[in-house]
Amino acid sequence: MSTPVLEVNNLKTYFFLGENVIPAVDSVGFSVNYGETLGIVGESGSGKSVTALSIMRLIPNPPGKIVGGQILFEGEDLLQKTEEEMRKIRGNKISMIFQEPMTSLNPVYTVGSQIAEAIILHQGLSKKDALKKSEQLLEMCKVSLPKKRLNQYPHELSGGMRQRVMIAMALACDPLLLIADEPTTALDVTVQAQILELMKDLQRKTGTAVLFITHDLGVINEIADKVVVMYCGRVVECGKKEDILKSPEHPYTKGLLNSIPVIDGPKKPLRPIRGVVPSPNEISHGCRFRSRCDYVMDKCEKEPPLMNIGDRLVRCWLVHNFEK
Amino acid sequence: MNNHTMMNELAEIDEIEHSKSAFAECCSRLFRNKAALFGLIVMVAVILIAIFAPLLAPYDYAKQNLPEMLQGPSFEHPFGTDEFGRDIFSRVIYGSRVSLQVGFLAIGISLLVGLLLGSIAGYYGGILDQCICALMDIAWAFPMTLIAIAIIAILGPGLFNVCLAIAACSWAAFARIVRGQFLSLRNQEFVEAARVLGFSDLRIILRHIFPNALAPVVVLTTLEVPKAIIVEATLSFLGLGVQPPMPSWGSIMSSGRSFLFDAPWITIFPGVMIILVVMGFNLFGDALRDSMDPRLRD
Repeated sequence: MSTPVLEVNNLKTYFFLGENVIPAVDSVGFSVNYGETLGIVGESGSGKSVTALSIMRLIPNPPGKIVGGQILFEGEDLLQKTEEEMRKIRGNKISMIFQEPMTSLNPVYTVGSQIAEAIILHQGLSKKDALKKSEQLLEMCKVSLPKKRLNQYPHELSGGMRQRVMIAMALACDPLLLIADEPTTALDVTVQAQILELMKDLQRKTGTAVLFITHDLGVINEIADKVVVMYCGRVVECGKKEDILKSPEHPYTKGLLNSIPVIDGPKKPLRPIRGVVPSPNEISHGCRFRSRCDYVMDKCEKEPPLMNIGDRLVRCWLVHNFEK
Repeated sequence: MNNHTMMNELAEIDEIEHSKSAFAECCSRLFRNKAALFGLIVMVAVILIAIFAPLLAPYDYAKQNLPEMLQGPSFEHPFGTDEFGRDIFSRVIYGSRVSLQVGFLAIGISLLVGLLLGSIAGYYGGILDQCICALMDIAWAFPMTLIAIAIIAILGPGLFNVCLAIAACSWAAFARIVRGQFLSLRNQEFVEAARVLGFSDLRIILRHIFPNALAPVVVLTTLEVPKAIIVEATLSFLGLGVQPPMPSWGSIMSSGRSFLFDAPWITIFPGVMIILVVMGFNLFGDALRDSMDPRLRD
């Protein structure tokens, strides 16, 4: 097997708030192959976005700090890079799109000059060529009337349109990895479906690997090849999409799947996971999910390791007996 | 698919109707305001007077003509003459140069210092921010006139020193407002997006945050210029401003003090000019602020 484009090993990002140390991301590891889509799922506060920002090396410091681990991008550790080197990678080889398309564009510049700025900076094109490329990018992202959009300001565009512009900006320098941090959460469902369709389509064309962060398992089903389920800064389950969505092993993944309302099929009451996500610093020992778990047992006082079951990883004592 | 294109076109028609730029909208709202228009006319008029002073002034501002001393307003001397027979009209015209020079230069220096320190404090935060905030609090704590007098006492009088003295206080107002803007803007997603695209701090500050922080700074500038003009007049009145024979509105008023009952015109006309100009700038500044405030949009 060839080397993955991104390999995260044992990543630890902690936040230091006064006396408290909050392990927002604790020993997280996964890998993304070239052209593959990895979905990271979890509730709010599970450390998904912090993981993404860690890869970008954009954790606000203070209070946050990456205290350990490796982030191998094309085999090179990003944590060893200088700020200068990182700036050449950001927007160029790794780029990112955000949740809020309404505020992610600078209100004082036209769409065209915003897309062109990154192209000029990273690829050294002239302004004219960069604008021409911007137009092509908008067209590729299925923005209607791309030529006209170049000279429009963000406030003149709708939410879905702006997200397409953001995607065009992210793809401007043909990145190897695109990090999408809940890109469809703020959009309504029909636009959401269009954006997902567009992203799948673009990925087929450009071969960019995607790290897709979401809390929506429906979206994961649409777009991901592999899934990492995170809870409280930990990876609790990780494997192929089909395996995880069809036969989840970890009680948390099961809980997430049970929390999805079903439109067709017999009507039955939703079974949400009880309680809320505790802050990672509230759990001193043992399995982090045990306060909300239906299957909690004595053994859960000790934290289970990530165990290999078939070709997936699960962090739960329930599967301990099946470990190979 | 056909339906889709039609939808797009409909959306586009809708957009064209709304695509009047924010700047044009702001201007049209501004000029519907009578007070703003008045303020603007006064500002432009004073600036033109200052520029064309040598053409407009009928007499040399420094030429003494003792036989005609302390004459009241007449056709030859519209604003009368002072105790040396100098034409007040010409002196008031030349005085506008001093007032505006000080107003713009002092606020220009404040603006530069305030923008620099305010953006550093707001963008980087931490210990730098604390130091700059402490400096701002110190500058805030003193009355502007008092600290200006103290600085003039050290540097000596003169036009440029007056500017420095005024700038020493008023930079804090700019720094504070810029810092506030940066604090709220630096966490905006488009700034995060700029970082993600690999832009440097300098580029983000100058190109991405700065233009968004500008609106309140423009308003503050129009409100700070008249303050500087008043402080300059005060200093000149006390004899700490520009030195004779160069006329300043403050110093003309001061020289008229001894003849207040015999020749009130010496004091009245420069006083009226100060009121007019300060009011003009303030009215314009207030209206500008209102027209830029999206919550007041009709």
